Amino acid sequence: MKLILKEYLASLKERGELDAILPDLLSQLGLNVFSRPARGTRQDGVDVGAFGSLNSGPEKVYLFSIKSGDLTRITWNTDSPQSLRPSLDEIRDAYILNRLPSEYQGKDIVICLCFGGDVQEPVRPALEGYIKQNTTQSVSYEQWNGDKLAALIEDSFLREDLLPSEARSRFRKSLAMLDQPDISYKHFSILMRSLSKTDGLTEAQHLLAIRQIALCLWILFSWARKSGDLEAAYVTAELAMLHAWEIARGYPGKSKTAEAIRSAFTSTHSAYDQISTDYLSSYILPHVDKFHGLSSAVRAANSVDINLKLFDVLSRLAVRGLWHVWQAYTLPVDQAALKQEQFDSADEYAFAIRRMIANNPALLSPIKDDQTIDITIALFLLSQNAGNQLDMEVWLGEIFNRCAFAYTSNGKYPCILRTYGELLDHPTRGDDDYRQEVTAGSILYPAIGFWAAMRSFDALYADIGKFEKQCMKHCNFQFWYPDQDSEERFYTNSDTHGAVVSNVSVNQPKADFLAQIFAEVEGSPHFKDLSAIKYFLWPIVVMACRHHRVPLPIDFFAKPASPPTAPVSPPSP
Amino acid sequence: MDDLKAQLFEAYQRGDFFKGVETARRADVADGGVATALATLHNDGQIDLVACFQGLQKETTAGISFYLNASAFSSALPSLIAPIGQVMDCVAHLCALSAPSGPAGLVLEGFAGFCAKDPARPLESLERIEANWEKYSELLLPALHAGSQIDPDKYYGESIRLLDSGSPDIKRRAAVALGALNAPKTAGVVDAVLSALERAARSEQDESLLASIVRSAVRIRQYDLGQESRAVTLIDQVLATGSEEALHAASELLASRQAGMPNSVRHLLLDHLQQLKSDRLATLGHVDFALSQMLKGPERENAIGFMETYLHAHADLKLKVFDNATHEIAADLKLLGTLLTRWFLHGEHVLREGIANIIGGFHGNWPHIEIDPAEIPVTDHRTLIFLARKAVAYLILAPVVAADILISLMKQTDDDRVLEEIGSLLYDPLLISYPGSVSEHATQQITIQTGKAQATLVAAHKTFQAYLNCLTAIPDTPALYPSDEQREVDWRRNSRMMADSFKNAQKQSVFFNIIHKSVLLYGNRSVYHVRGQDGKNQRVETPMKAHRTSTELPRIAQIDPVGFDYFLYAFKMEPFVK
Repeated sequence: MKLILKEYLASLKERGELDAILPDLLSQLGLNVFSRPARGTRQDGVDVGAFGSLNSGPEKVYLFSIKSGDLTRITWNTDSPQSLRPSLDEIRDAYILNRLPSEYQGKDIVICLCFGGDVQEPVRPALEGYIKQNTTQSVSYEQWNGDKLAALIEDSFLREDLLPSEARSRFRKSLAMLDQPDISYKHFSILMRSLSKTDGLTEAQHLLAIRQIALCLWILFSWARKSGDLEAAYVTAELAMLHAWEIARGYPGKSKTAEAIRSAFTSTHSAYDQISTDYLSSYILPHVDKFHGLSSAVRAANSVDINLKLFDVLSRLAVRGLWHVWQAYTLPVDQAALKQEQFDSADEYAFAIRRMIANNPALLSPIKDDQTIDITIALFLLSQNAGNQLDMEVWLGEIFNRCAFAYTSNGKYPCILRTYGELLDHPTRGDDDYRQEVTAGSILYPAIGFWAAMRSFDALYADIGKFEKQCMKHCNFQFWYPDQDSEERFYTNSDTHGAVVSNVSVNQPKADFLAQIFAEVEGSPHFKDLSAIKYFLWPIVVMACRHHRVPLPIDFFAKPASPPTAPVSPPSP
Repeated sequence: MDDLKAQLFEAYQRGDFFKGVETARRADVADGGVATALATLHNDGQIDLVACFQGLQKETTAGISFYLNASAFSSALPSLIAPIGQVMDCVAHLCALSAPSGPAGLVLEGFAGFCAKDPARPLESLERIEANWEKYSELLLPALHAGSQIDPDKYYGESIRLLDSGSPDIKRRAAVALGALNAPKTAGVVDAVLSALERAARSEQDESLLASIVRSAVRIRQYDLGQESRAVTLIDQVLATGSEEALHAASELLASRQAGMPNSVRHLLLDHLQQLKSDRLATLGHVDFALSQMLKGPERENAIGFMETYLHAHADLKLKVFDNATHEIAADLKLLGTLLTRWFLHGEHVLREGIANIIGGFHGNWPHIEIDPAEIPVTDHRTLIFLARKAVAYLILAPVVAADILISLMKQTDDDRVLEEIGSLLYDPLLISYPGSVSEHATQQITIQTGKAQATLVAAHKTFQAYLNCLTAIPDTPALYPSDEQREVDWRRNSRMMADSFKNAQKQSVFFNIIHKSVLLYGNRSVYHVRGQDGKNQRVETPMKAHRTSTELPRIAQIDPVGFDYFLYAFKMEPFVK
């Protein structure tokens, strides 16, 4: 395990990675972290500051300057702001004198040189000379290299008594099988389930569990990045986020534990953000403009492979964009520029979605009814900008036309079959019995009808109504809503939950259709009671829908316009 | 000869006569010696051949070839000297024994030869046949035919008499006879025959009789061309009844390509065959053969017209029902180009699909087919683009041919707008669907074509190269690949489908039904030992050879299956708006 950890630490980058995991580690070691990494503000060389006692020794102030990888000539002392020696000088000359919190002044100070790798030999004399020259009675220096960090992490998080052997084994397997993402995911999900099962545990154990989730995700990410395939990292990151929230949602207050848990959740979120951004910017965004680019990159053996992968990627893009929308809404009004920056980022993802659809026609022909979830998430993002109205209309119109054509011509029409083998063979027969069996229910057609009604795509709305009347009388058009069980089950998908309004007809005036749908929304408090909604972390609900294949609650689109605009004491990162 | 006679006689004496005849017949390379020997033995009184064969029973044929014995008897029959009654009994007996699919025809032929040897024999036969119709009905036709070899007019008269006054079965056979007798000697006979046939056509509804009337009318008209229009009218009237047997007779006549059959008769038969029901596959088979012959000559347009009209009226059929005709079309690439142009422009779906199937039958060895400019009345934008879309839609599985059609269309115009549109069809879907074969073909064609066609090809290929470069620039992205489990499921599914289709193919294969199959688990040669005539084992070695076949499927069908179907459907269904 220590080797795994060392590998992981050596691969971490300073920004957002090593400095994200270190505060949790220090907290777990019993230190009080008083300074966390921040961007855009002057740090005077200190990335993390903490106070307390290590190994039962005297209480000291620990000031960390973090660099990634090995310490080399370049990272030791050059003109680069990322060099270690200038940072150490800054700590000595500026931080200790001017910025050290008053309650810690006069305490012994340890300046920790923290890097994920090792000190390279050519640098060692200079480093040791520097330490000798600057060590005083009250200021000492310590090297926190990869070895030390790995040992501390193992002792703090992954000890046998903290992470049972079964869980460690799962974790190792998920790392070993990174080149087969579905298998890696399978092991990781078992690990996640065991970690987030916190019934009857103490707050400290909850805290440990959520930190372990964060740490495992970071480690898996670093290994996946090294292997050049982030697929497993992406899906496990989503899962880790949801399981982390499963723990964090129980700590909305301002207690010390609650703050520590939120900190660990933030660390998981950072990992997710980074994985998601890396995944999309490495594999998807550069190719959305290429005609058939992503479709070809799938290296499919058949059309189903392309179809499944593209709809999956579509909603990954959309979820990323929605996190930017969320970020924009969390920023205070006086940070208009930053707010706009986030909206712009969301628009970039929306634009990428439009380009991806235009260049990959498989996205016009869902084969599974539950791909409605991906479509709806994409529409959720597109609908944030009125400029996307026409694209939404064209896309939905084309989806409907193709579905109707495929259905009438017995092509690959959307069905409720789930397994890959069944989808490959679909349609196995052209008779009415089969067709009615595999289209016995649908969230797709009513969802298109809903968007058409909401957005006044009247011709499309009428077409769906006609299609329903002519071809889909047997099909149960339905909408899903959360219920009283959803809060407990949504994030980890521990069991089925929610309620369905059945036999919703698009073949009626759209006002009646919408009234029927929204009546259920208005009559139910369960969506608003979801913790992720209550604490203004609504993208988690979107992620849960995407990940666990649950329809996006229609409540998101109920009036007044959503997403909610005022955060309610968010346990936000 | 004497040896042969001796052998046969010896066999006769041994009580193994029929086996002896069979053995002699098998060894009788010259095919005649056995018959002569048998006739001699009979005429010399050594063997009563008629009595022998009269005694031949089904049970006694076990282990011997009835066919070889019957054919030997049939060959000997014309030379026999025997009472007519005995011979008739024997022939009727053998006919009954060989029915329904045995060598009765051979025996009856022999009987006709026997009757023709003596003018009294046909007459006497006729009397006996009429007197005992149940027993001798099969002998009527050979008796009349034999008589007509001696005195045709007399036996035409006899046939007419029987047609006018006989029982239904006699009438049927008499009507057949009227088309099978030797040529009459006097001109008036044809008139009388036609009158009799007309009377029968008016009064009778029996299907077989009507069929015989058609056959006989076609045949008899050749003996008096002055009566041709009357015969044609008669045929027209009979076929107009829609009698299926009459139509079948018409199809046979058409397929037999009788020398001297005038176009008026041929056209008449074809016209009436339009009413043929689509489930009459045997009749359609004759029509198909006739059409295939017509396609080779000046009657090509009539054959094509027949197929167009017939398939229009029978939506349940495909062009493939005319299997021989489609082979004929496939064998003549110029004709194929002509029909492709004509049918893609104005034909119905079934014809266009038929063309696609004919071309698909080349299985990758794509022929070079061009459109026929003579079939395009106006080379305007609408017409050329319409043709181009039809070619792309119907020939998407024969992409090189589709590309050739597009290139030949490019050569028909100087209009830049048209050229650009055709070029874009060449790019999408052909080039991007078939980056291998079509790209290679287009590259070759660029060096062959000239002028604007060449420029259009270059532009389309350049666009394609840019598309391809864009795709190849995308690095390997394992994160997007299907999982190993998905690949495994897909592989299993494909293997299952291949195995099923191989089994089905084997079931339908004549070859696999007659051979014994051995499965070799290892190696690539099969060695086995067989005992030769000399009693020694011989080593036989069969080397195994691998047979491979490959099919290029359009990429677009994988990238966008529904869109692909939709575009094919839209292009196929697009009507030509004048």
